[in-house]
Formats: sequence, C-alpha cells, structure tokens
Amino acid sequence: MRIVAVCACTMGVAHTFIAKDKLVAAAEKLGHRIKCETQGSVGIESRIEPADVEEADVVIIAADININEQERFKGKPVVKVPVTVAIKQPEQLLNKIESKLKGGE
Amino acid sequence: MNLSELMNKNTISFDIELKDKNEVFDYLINQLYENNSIASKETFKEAVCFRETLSETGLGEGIAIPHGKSATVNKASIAFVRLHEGIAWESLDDKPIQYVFLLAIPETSQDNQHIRMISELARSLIRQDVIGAVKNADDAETLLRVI
Repeated sequence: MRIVAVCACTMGVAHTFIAKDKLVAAAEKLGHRIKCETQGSVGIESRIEPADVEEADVVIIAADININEQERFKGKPVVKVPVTVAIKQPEQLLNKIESKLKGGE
Repeated sequence: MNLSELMNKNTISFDIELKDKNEVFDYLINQLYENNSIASKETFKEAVCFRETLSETGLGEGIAIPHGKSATVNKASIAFVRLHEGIAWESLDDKPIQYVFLLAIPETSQDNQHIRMISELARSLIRQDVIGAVKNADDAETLLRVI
C-alpha cells in the first residue's frame, strides 16, 4: 500500500513521534510505502503534500486531537485511530487496513 | 544528542525507594523545583496528573515518560529517577516501571529547540540499544552520555 499518515497526540511532544517511528517501522517491515507527518508542539513536520495524497491508497490519522488541515484528504479512504493503537499494534493496524481495502474493491 | 541543557546531576537520581506513582511525582517535581525549572510544584503536578488521565505514559521495558505542559514551566527540563524497585504504572506492556523520566514542557512554543530534544529523547527510549544503556547506567554522567 501507499500510505500517508498524520500523528498528533495531546501534548505533541512524546507520543506523536513514537507513533510515527512505530508506524514507519511497521510499514517498512510489511513492504508498504509510507510518508508520515507529525503535528506536534513545534508545528507540522514532514508535511503531507497534495502529490503525496494524490498517490496514496489510504490515509491513517493516528491522533488524540482534531488534526489540522484534514480537508486535504477529502475523497481518500481515511482510517482514524487513537495514537496508542499506532504505538501498540502498528502491524495489526496495517494488516487490517490492507485486508479492508482489498475486500472493498 | 546533548541533553545537558535539559537535565543535570541535580535532576538525576538512582535507587530511590518510592512506593507509588504519586511519590515518584512528588519526588521528581521537587527536583525540578529545586533546579528552578518550574515556578509552582502544585500547578505542575496538576498538569502531570491531567496528562496521566489521557493515556498510559509507560513505554514498556520498565521505562515511563510522564509529562506536563504548563505555563509554570520556566524552562524545558527533564528529571530522572531509577527506583529501588519497580512499581505499578499503566504501561504499553503492563510491566512494572522502574525508570522514570519526567518531562517538563513550557506552554509557549518559543523554545522549540529544547522541545525537539525532549521529543528525540522520548522516541529514543523505544530503541533496544538505548533501553539497555539506560538500564546499565549507574550514575548521572553515564546516563547523560548514553541517551
């Protein structure tokens, strides 16, 4: 899958970035392509650009708060989960999304 | 990463006997206060306890990173304690917590450089090599060198 993801936890300092690392590691292990943006205390980093959205199969939002600029993802399948899910079970999350996408098409 | 701007030997302790989360908070918050990192112990503790209600701060492997974001934080800082024994703490792997990094985060984001350093520390603490090094550190100097 080609994945774009946004991570954002409540304080935007710790779990946002841990979730990113876990998601990216899991995606690489499972052979997916991923670009992961963080919306933290210091603002948006590794921003998802329109071209990234264009070629993505799915958008994962791992957030405990409302993220900024969600309208970028209109028209794409969006999966929203709490940050903890991305940290605790990133591989299960990706496998579940993959089977849903396959089943739905 | 040079964390010496965020933590120093006055905010790092080893083998302290504290029996629960509340005692750990009081202990570490007092260290931050003595270090002039926070203006009010009470206000900062409220912020830390509020964060605890949102989701678990135990990362697993006995390491926890409770944190508070508050205007009472004078400067981004970290206090660390290695407990004499592991204690009950909500964690990703449900194991007891023995190593606690308490992160003090200022409300305004004018100090992005130091906030980034705190983020880097947090994400490094899920790496096996760093976890091992933290567990093997027996003094402040060693800890500061390995993280």
